Amino acid sequence: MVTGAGRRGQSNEPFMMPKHKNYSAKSDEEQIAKLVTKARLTGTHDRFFGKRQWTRYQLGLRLEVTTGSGKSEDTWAATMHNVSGGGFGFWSKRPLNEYDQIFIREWPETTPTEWLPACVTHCSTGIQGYLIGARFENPCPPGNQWELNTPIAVAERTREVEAKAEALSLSDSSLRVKCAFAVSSIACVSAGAMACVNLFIPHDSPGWWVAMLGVLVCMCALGAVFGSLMFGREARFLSAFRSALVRMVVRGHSHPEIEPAPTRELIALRQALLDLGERWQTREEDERMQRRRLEELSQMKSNILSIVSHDLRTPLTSILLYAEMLKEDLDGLERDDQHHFLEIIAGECNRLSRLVDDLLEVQRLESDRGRWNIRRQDLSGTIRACAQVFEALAASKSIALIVDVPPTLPPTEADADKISQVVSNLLSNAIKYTPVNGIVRISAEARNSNLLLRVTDTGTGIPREKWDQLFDRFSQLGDPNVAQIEGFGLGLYIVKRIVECHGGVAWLDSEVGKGSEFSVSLPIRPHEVLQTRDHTKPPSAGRVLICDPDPELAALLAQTLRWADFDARVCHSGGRLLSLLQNGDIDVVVIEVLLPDMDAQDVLAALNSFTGRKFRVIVHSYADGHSGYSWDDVDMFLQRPVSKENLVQAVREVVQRFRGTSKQIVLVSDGNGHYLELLTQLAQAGHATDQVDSLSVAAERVRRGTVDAVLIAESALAKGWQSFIGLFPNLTKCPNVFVLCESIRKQERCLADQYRVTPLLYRPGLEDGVIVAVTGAGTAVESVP
Amino acid sequence: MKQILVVDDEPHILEGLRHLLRTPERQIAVAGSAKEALILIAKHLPDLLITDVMMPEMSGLDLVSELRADARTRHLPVIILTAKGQAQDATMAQEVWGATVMAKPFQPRKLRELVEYSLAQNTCTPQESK
Repeated sequence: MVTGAGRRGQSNEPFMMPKHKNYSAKSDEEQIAKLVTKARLTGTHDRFFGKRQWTRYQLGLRLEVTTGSGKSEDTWAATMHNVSGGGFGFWSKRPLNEYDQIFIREWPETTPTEWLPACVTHCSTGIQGYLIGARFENPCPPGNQWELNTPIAVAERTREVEAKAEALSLSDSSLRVKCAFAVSSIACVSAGAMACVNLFIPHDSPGWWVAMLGVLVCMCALGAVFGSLMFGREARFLSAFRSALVRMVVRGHSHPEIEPAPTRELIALRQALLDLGERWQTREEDERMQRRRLEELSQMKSNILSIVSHDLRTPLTSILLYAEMLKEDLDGLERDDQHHFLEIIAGECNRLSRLVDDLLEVQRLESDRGRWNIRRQDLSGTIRACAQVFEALAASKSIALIVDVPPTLPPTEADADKISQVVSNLLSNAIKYTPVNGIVRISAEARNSNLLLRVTDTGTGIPREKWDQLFDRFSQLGDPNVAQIEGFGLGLYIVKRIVECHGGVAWLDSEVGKGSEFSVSLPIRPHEVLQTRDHTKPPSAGRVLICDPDPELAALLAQTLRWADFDARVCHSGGRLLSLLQNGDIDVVVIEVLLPDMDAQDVLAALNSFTGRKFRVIVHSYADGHSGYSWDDVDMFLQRPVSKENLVQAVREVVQRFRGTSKQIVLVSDGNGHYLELLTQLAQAGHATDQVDSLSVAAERVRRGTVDAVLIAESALAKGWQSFIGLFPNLTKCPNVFVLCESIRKQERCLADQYRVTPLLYRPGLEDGVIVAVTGAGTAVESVP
Repeated sequence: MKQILVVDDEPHILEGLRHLLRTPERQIAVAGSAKEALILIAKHLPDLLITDVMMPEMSGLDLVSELRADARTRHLPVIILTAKGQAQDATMAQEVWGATVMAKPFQPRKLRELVEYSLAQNTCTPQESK
């Protein structure tokens, strides 16, 4: 899977397979070649450690690796360090773990004496490696040259280990000096010994000779030993001693103080890989979402077709049926029947024509090709005239139609024809759904700067969950086999569309069993002539879902947000809110938690524990901070009443945060130190900052996943790292914890490496570095609940 | 005297069918919904059922499936009138339940022929339990 055939200074072609004539393991070569072709290089750079140039190959995320048998394939991520001049491949019998690393302990005999470290993250036991590349003609026995290890810092440790090994071994020059020293000391000792012998033992006694002989023998033995050290096998002996020592040191067996810990570089690499993985995941998720959306659209399309075809065919059936009967047996029918049949045919034709008109109207409204005739005019006459048309229909059902429209209304900028269509649609609906002997009332009044039009009925009423759906296009989409309402369900959609094009809002309030009230609010002087807006382009500022039990307030909030270019939807109950959120296409929820169907606490709990939550929550409520509810879990709390501008500002801020341009940062500080300037600058950089005084509060926020980065003031860690570890037990994977230090000493670095937090140099005036680091950090802190 | 039950939520169609299928030797009952039809069938088993598919509350297909689940009505001849564009469900009804499916809008003459044919079949094979 991995090869680094680049020679020193030739790292631009690192993945060329080396060509060797004396390639001994043909099958291995084939296998490795297969692996190699699947590896992708994402970046290389050269680096010097000591005198040696290292070429680092960072490999792509998706490496397909054939396992030993060559049959199955595992996928994992790999990063490796490779010394120049060679390359290697390996394969695994199982997927790799996150912190596993692999290194080469020893090259074969023909390679330089330095051992070659290689580190592959995401490796684990079960890996066998084969060397390929420059020295493949003399491969080591399998299982010998590779060794698996517990995490060990390779790159930086190399020098350290080598230095220790160096200190423990003897170089040639020092060996000579030491030998000379040894020879001279042997000479001195022997001279001294001879002098002593001369002094204490008489010359002519046999003991003198014996003592002299002993001294000479000792001298010769010492000389022989040091001589052999200088010229013979001692070098090999020392070298073996040294490499054994190195092995022990590297494996950490005999030197526990070199407890392996990933280097900062490795952490960065690992983070890069994790980021890459996250991006992949996000993309896959997006694609999945897109697919689902398309499937939904396709389903919707077929439902619409089904409804349209049903609604067009039904009147056609009647027409054909009666026309045929008339044709077949005109004379056999009574005159009354003939009339009746013709009436039915005419009525059905009208119905067909109305349906087609509705469809065309929707088409016109959506494509903005409709002709608008906006004039400043008193609409009271239009409304009354329109209501008059329905008097006959109401009378036929014994419904009292009450018209409560003052003789004059303030002149309003509107298209009278369109407004009369609004009134007609509302009235015909009201009469259709009101049982015999009911009451339908239409009223109009000027309120503030709006014209408020209301149609109230004593019909069956509409459950709260359906309020918002009713204004949707083809709103009667339900079970396609079950017809619900005559018509396509386009009437209210047309109302909503026309009203919105006038810059107004439409909403409904209803009680099941008692009746409904449809309201339309038209601005007397439109804030903006909305029909000129391009409706084909969806608003882009963000998708907001407003949940408010009061339909009027919800409609007005939605209007405000739409003017600010948000895509705003409304709903009026907790149940409907949760079902709408399932679609996953909402950025921000603006919610009044005091809902009729759910307890505030339950709503908040449901929102917080929402699976795959991707939206932010703004609570916009009359409930205040003392009402016993906790707003800690929500992204923002707005105490009502809030001005329109503030609401829009709040939503915009939260949307920005959602989109990742801004990060949620928590600073943990015990109050000592100067962090005010830092917080100000972070806020200016568009981040949302928050200062807490204890680690436990920050840890809790991280656990909830509402934090992108944690900054910890050094002084807040005074109680020791243990408390930190205790609080962040699941943060071994979290790179976005920064410790602000006045100076980064070795201890900080070491601890930081161990606990995978990043020390940042910070003093007043050094804010920029912190901002850059925080901005570059990945999105939401990973945490395991 | 043959009995035909017609089920549709459109009063005009009910009325039209009543006119269309009326002969001296037939009795035609109408129901505005599937629920109503079930009640009528429970009271008196007709010789032929003609039903629409898309109706409020309970669809024509649900009605037929319910009838087929009951031993008494298992062999009741059924004509399904469907106004739906896609006739997959209706095809299913045809294959599984042995119902005859006719698409709306239909030629009245054809329906009349089909009704005559179904009633004649029913007479030839008096197998259903009365």
